[in-house]
Amino acid sequence: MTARSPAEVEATDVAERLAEAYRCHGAAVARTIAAYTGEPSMVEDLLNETFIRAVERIEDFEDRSTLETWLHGIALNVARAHVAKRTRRRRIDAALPPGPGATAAVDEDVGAREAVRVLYRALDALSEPLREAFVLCVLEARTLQDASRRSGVAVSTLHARRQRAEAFVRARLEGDR
Amino acid sequence: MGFDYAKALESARRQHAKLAPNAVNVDAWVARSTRRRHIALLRQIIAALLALLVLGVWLVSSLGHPTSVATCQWVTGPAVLRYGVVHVVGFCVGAAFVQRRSTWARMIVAAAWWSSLLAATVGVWTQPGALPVLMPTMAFASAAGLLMLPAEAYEDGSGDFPLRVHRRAIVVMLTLAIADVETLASAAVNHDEPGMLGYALLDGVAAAVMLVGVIGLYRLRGWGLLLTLTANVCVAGAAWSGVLVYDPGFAALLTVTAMLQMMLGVPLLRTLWRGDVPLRRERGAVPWVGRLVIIACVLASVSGVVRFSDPATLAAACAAH
Repeated sequence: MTARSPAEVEATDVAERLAEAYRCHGAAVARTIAAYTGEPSMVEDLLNETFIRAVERIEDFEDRSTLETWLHGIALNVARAHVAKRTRRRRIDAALPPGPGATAAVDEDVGAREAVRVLYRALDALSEPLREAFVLCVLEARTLQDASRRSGVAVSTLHARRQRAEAFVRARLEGDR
Repeated sequence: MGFDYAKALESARRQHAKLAPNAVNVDAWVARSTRRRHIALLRQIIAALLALLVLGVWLVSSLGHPTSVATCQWVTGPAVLRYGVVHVVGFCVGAAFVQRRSTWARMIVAAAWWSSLLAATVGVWTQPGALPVLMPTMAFASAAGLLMLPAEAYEDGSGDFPLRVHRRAIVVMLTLAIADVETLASAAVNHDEPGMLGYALLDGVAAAVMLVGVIGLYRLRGWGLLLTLTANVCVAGAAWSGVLVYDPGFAALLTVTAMLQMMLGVPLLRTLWRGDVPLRRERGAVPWVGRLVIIACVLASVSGVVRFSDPATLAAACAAH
């Protein structure tokens, strides 16, 4: 076995700390990523990316927020970047297979799957701040105060964004087909 | 007929609730993180080498003037020292900041190298005998530096610039504006003919006004946006009307960057006016456009060098100056 350099030892310590955070908050962060992207098959990769970024940026973590909130912030950034990349890819390559929901279990109700697919199509059309407000406040059913803490957006602004996003998504879902 | 909103939400929530992430893999995190650190270190080393190359060529061009027969007769030693100084300093500052994660540092790196690349490419064609070695070197080094910058450099940063609505548009606008500041500062230093002090001062004032606009825009102030846009219109107008004296190539360069900033700034003004975030997702920039421009600049520089390697063509260009 080769000896580790001090930098590697330090990195491992940080990772161990985050591994503990993963055990406590990993599932919640994964659900947030899934809710934001609507792609359960990508959650594992994006979750790993979230924690790798956390390893790199642990020195930026300040006690102004809890570790969980900080991790959620990184996860939202990762999910946001993924959705932006996916949107660009879809514009370029219209022949991509259908998006969110397509990889769900086969025995799942087809109508429900289709509804989720349409829901995420509507979310893809929304601007990022409105999408985030919808995911945090509606899909994850967080309180405005909790969502505000996680997103760093004022409660009143978040409330207004949630209402606009909800009206848009509802209209898309109910008016579709 | 559509879908039931509440049922769609419920289905989505059910789907997410089933998620159970796998067991943690600390070694994989550390390995990936270490690999990224190594790539970042390699990027820093390449940036330092490029800066050394540019600095070395500039010093050799200045101290050993004239370094080649490709230099026009009218170019003096002190002029060579002055012509490249702003871009050389800008390039080195960019190389020093290349490891920083903050958005402002990333913008400065990109702006310094874009300014050098564009100015060198234009200079190779419009002032072929002025800095025959430095300009192609600068174009190559800036292009190499820009191509090695990570594509996601502007995405989130270290939280110093937390803006998300229109983030990309504002960051690109700021980068172009900082590049313009460098180009204008360089133009101010380059005016060396007798009686050109007034023009040099005007360039300096334009660069200073643009810089104040950049600071305001970075702090997300409405006046910053307005000042940046106004300064761009004024600089482009003054360049074409002769109030500011540039070669047509540089006037065109400043006009193009001004127009790009106007195109990016108009939706921002609309958002400011309405006071609300847009409902729909904005169309993202196509990531390969920047790379395409970089490659086009390198090709243009190479073709310029080839064209003016012919002594007769070069002599005609020198005489026309």
